[in-house]
Amino acid sequence: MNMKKAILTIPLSAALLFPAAHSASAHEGHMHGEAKKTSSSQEVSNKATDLRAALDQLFSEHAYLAVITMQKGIDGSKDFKQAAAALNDNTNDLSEAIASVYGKKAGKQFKDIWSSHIGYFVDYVQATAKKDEAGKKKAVKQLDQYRMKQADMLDQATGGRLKASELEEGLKMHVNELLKAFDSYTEKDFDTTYETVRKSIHHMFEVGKGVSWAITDQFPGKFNHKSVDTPAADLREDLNYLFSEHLTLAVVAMQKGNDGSKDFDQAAAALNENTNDLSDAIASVYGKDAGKQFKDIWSSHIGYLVDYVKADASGDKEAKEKAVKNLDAYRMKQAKFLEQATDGRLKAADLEAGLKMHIDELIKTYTSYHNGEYDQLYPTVREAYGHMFMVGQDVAAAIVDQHPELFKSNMPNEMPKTGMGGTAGPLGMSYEAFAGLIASLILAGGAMGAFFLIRRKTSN
Amino acid sequence: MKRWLLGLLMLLVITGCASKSMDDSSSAKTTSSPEKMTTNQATKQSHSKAMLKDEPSGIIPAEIAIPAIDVKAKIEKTTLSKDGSMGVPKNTDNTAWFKDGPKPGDKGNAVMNGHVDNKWGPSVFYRLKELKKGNKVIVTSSSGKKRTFEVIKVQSYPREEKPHVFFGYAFTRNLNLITCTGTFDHAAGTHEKRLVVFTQLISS
Repeated sequence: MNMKKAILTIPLSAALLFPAAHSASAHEGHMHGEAKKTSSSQEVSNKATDLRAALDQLFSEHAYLAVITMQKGIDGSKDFKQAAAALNDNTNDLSEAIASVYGKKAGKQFKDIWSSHIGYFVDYVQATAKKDEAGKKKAVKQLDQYRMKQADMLDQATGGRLKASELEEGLKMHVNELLKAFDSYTEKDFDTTYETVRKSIHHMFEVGKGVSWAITDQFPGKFNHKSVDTPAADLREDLNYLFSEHLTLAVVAMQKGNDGSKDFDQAAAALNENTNDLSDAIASVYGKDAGKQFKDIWSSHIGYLVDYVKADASGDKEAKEKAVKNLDAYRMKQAKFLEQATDGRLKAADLEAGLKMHIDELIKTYTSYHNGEYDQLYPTVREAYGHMFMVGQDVAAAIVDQHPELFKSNMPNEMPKTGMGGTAGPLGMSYEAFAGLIASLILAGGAMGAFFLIRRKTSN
Repeated sequence: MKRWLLGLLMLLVITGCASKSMDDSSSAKTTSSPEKMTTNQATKQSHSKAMLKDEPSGIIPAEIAIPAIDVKAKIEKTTLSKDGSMGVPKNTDNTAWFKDGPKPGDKGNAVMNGHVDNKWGPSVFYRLKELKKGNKVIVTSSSGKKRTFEVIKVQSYPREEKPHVFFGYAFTRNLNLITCTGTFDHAAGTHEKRLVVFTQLISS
């Protein structure tokens, strides 16, 4: 497939479309990475790093939605259709992102190939449900063929930057992880399930980095010649991963709690591990005490949401109201903590507003799931997921602005001095060497002359 | 008269030393042809197909060989110098590898530089500009592990070019070689351009 024509039809804006963009107006008063920068390497938000974050969001969201869709598929859950629809919405958004860079034709080609691999996973789930071993083997074989096709398409589109042999290895890991997360779930080995789920989501952020690197390397002018590979961008990615994973695990845990599922404990444990990782990240910048303080405050809000779910399940109105009050108090406490820690870069008022939206979204997703109203459930989940990337950007911007010295690039900012001019004089020699040559010639001539003079004298 | 002769002889000896150092610098380019690796050997010694994506495949480079231009040189380790540029080899017969970046063979841009010339004449990377697409670059570790790279592109840039594109993260396993090229600006004490040879690991 000749991708060259597609590359020539790049639209002028490399704007990527994803749901979060629609609710931009709701975020007045929020700062998004507008901290003053001292150098490119310390920019949290520029065209290249924004591309990286956008792709991180789409790829990681894909993995998360794939995991829960497969679980709901084998469980015969009532909201399976809606989860699968959300997965398809993510595919559409990803394909539109590809199209915005490589053209409509490439976007369609990507969508077809990408959708095929989702289809083979569906086949695998259905074969598992029917205990059809041959069917499972067939699906795995088709996934293998998909790997080659997908790698080839991306290698060609990116002019060899996303090298097919490297991509094939990466896709193999992805397929194996998703299958492992699913198989372990059906075998009720839930420890393995959530360990693998966390890993597979985390790996998608490497995909985002790789693809954004290829695109910005291929079209540097469209991204102001900025790099995706900076310490500030890496911080933003780490925070994006931890904040968004928090959201996915929170939704999963609340649903499992509602259903009384056997893997509720492991889902909740994964959520706590995420809290530990997030607190460690805070501690790495602000010190151990701050990390502990953050962990206590953060954990409390998870606890209050659990209280809310329990109270709702048992019909305890009073306990439910108490949980809501506690969540409100949490909002103020969390906002104040972050404002103080970042020396006012993150404003408490903004944070309180953002946290209110977050809590409302979580309660909405829980309530609609509980009441069997599935239509708005996953669109809300997707929106809440996208919001976590804004949180990551804001917190990263504050941290980098506060401690720029921690985010200096160790890459050279100037070309090396690999020449001394020794071949820059006459005859490709240095001036010194040339002078030496002339001197030698003169002296040799002089010595010859002196020699003959002496000979003549002695022969006289 | 004899004193005059003696003075002449002494001068001859002195200029002879100068010529000798010229010979020393030109002997930085080896005249003996280094071992040429066959493609089969190269693919066997690069990482095996069964290797996971996350497994690094780089080596700490000790020696570099570029058969097409008769280069065989030792590799020093370097880091950022005070002025923010990549450090250069202390011995101008050697090349230098940027140790804060990826190892040759790992994913990303491993970078090495070498002088095009020293004060007296050509240096280790004098003939780098002759390299063409497909030429091989072989890097060996002190324990004898080899990685073979293939030239993808040779391009020169003005010396003010920001080098971050040649360093750091990449999805492919690259080794970029940098040296000076173009006119030597005597006032500035450096060449006006930089030559970058982009190479990629040859894998099975």
